[in-house]
Amino acid sequence: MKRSPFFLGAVLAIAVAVVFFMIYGRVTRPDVPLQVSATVENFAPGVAIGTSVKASKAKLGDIRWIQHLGFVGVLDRHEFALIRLAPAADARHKVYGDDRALVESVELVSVNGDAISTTMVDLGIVFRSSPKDGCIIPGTDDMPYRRVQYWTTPSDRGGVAIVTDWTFTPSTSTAGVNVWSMIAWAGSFKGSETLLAKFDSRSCLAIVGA
Amino acid sequence: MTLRQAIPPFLALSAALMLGSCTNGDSAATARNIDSSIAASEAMMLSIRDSVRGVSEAERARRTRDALAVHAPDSLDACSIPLQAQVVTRHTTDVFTLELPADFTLTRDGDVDRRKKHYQYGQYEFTGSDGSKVIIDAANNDEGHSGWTGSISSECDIEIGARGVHLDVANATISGEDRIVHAHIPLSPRLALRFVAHARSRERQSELLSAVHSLRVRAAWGETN
Repeated sequence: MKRSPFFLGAVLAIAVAVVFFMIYGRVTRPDVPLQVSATVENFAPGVAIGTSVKASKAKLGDIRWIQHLGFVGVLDRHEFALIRLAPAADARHKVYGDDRALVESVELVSVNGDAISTTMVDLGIVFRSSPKDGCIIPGTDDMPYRRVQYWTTPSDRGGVAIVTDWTFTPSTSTAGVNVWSMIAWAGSFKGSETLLAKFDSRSCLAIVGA
Repeated sequence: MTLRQAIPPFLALSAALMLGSCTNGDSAATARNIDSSIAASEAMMLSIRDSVRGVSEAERARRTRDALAVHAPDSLDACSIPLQAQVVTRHTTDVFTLELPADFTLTRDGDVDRRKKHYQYGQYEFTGSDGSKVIIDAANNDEGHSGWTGSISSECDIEIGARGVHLDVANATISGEDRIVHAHIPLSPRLALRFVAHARSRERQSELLSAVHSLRVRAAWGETN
């Protein structure tokens, strides 16, 4: 069977277009998935992962550098009272903060327990899935085990985690204090390295029981 | 094998070993850095929690101060739950448990009371270092406002330990300060437990009003041999 030159040309054009758009998509794809950037923008307007700390901290008040952790500042929002901007590891461990470093992850800390459920619902809608479950093992007796419910994008290009207290030992000095946080990051989920906490992929229920 | 033939594999092996050792060194440094970050993160969370708890305690203290000022500048609100004394001791008797400021000691034990021998309940008395007293004994259900004196400034019906309780805050001061906290706890159709505290200061009265909330009646109450 002999195909016409027009048909061969059309097939070739489509193939070229497909390859072009695949490459174009890869090249122009933002480093931070939309689910993550939109979540951060919603809860901390003006703050963005992947941009410089300087750009983000302009929107925050009373921001300070904590070595190994990042920039910590006050956030005057209903849901969250405190924000941590973590630059990449090499910048994070310096004695003095460099606000030209790019923000790699954002942690928002809340003392308002009522806001957990609505935030969870919002994240379920954004990621269109149920969260995965994990647990943070406390490093001191004063801290409780903390439950981690986290969402990642289908290709693991970023995610958001909600960290809530799981249980207290009677001697826990902070028993009865309701503090929870939301952590958003770009890049693949690397457990402890991403959350800056001792992460265990088992649920707290499996580790410490109810 | 000549020396020339042996060099390339040797170089390759050396390079691999050096690369491996460099990678291990990096891994160790990375692990140390992550540990530092984890420790810093946990310290930050502890600090936040401590500050939140400080605010909570300040809020409780404010509520207590407000409660103190509800009815009169020197009177307590019977419905308030003031702060507990800094240090308390739990007293356990045959019929109840109660947490009182640590300087209170048992000065009359229901066990030696005559009524206790017959009816398994008697009078218990605790005395504080300032002469304040807490007396716990039995009363008839309809004697909620009998058996003690004082001008009632505030009353409240609440639940303590899943039991309905009537509370009174009163002042029986004549010469020395005598501030009253009275609780009436019906236990059976006719029998009630009575708690009467004579406080020598308003702060002490506040502590003893708080102590009422720790009162728990044990199952042995009212049993006969």
